[in-house]
Amino acid sequence: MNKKFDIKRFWLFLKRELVRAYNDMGLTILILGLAPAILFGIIQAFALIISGEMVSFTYTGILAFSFSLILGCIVIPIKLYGPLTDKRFGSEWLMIPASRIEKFTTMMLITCVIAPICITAITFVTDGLLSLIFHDQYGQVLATKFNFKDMMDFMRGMVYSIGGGDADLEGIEGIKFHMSTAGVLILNWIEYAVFFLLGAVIFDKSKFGKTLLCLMALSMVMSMASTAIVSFCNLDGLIDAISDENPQRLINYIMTIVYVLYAILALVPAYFIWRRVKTLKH
Amino acid sequence: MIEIDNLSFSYGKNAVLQGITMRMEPGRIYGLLGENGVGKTTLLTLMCGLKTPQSGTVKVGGTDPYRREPASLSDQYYLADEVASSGARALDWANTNGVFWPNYSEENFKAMMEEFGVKLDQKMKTMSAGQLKKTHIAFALATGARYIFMDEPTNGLDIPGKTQFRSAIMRFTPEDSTIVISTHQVRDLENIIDPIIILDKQDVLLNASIEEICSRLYFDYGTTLHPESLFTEQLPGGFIQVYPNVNGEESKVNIEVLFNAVAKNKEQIKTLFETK
Repeated sequence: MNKKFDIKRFWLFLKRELVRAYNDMGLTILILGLAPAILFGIIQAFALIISGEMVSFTYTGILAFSFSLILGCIVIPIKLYGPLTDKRFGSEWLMIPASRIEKFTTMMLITCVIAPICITAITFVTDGLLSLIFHDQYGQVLATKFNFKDMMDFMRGMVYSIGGGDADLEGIEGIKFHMSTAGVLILNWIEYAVFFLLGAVIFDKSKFGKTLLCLMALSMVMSMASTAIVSFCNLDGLIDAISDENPQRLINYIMTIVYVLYAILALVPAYFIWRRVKTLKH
Repeated sequence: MIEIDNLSFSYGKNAVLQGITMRMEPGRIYGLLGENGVGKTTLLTLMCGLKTPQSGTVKVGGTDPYRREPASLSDQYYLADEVASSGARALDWANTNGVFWPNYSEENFKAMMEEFGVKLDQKMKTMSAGQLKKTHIAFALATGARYIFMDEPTNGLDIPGKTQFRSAIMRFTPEDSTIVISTHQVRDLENIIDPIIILDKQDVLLNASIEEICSRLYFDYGTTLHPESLFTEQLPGGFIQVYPNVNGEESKVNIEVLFNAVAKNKEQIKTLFETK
């Protein structure tokens, strides 16, 4: 009974939390998932009012999806776990007979995995239906709009210009980034969801505002720190890599830094969430 | 058993509980009384592990409640003064949560809800404060937990609700359960709480059973004032007063009068209950 992680009890707690999420956030998740249809409806309604005919706006899906994910990673953690600091909800949640690690894992799983999967799934269904019914106005399905090649070209060009060259992509087509667009999206979601989850359980009031301020402050500090590092550190080795026409080495450095940064940005807040769950008092 | 030893707790510089020591036996319904701000809710939250003592120890069933281990959590239930709402229907909510308490009884929950007159399929968000409180009370008692801590459980209940609450406590509490009820509404619970604990700022003024109180204090409902009266309240047609029971006579404890007598004669009452 006192096992720190009991799979049966964890499943029961996850089920309880999913039921609660469905009751408290189900409609919000549905609306976020339906965002392409809502946005498409608004755009076409205005078009009909102004010009009397429907217009083609093929960015509707990608805009709505980005909006849903950003809003989702802010709203879901704050709405679902913000009440933990409230005496009424918090004491009830803390007194449920599940271990701290089970409660923490459930929080992370719901906000970082299950909620985005639900939003993405509903968005993709909505997107598919819109593409099927209004193909001329809506365009192709969302998955085809994640232009992986364009993004890679953009990143290659950026890396090349850091190395002192212009954005000519010739000769660097073979570079591997070991990261897909979906990977970038997932890492971003996790990073922001964890950060807003931390804000939700740390701040008693004005959770959104205070978390956003902290995020802005952190971004400023990180920008200044990275600028300082780039300015003061000896980057000869990296520049040599470009001039030696071995940009893969530089890309590998950058990707390693990116992964380490993402890991730090997700793990540090996660640690503080764990500490908070462990020591939360009412 | 609940064992509290030399417990101290303060909010910043405001010391609330200091050097509190007491024992609570199984199979009793303790009434925790005290003026506003003496730390009744704080003591309850310390006992159920929602706070940690700054010094001293609290043991509930031999374990530290603040560790919030699943086994000790499934042995206890804390009913806060203000309870949370939920988007779920009452029975669904109870069953989803009930699985964590091994002795939870859906039948008992249904029976209590019926007695309280609250619909099982009603969404908790649509309930009034009183109905919500009744639902939580029904769930607390249906968990079959060995330790139940209730903070002002009758607040917000209507008159029939208070009677139903007393009846539910008597019918649905396991015999070996320890129930601790913090309340100001002593008249609501007069016939069910025994023993009575009266907390003062940083002290326990009284921790005694009704039988013990009766043997040491006499509650006189008469028309003449007693010279040794510790507290007197005028009633239509007479007085109710309390004074030391030197002749060993039997009387009915009036908790409100007892509380006032204790509050006004702290040292005398402590001496009276420490001796013999």
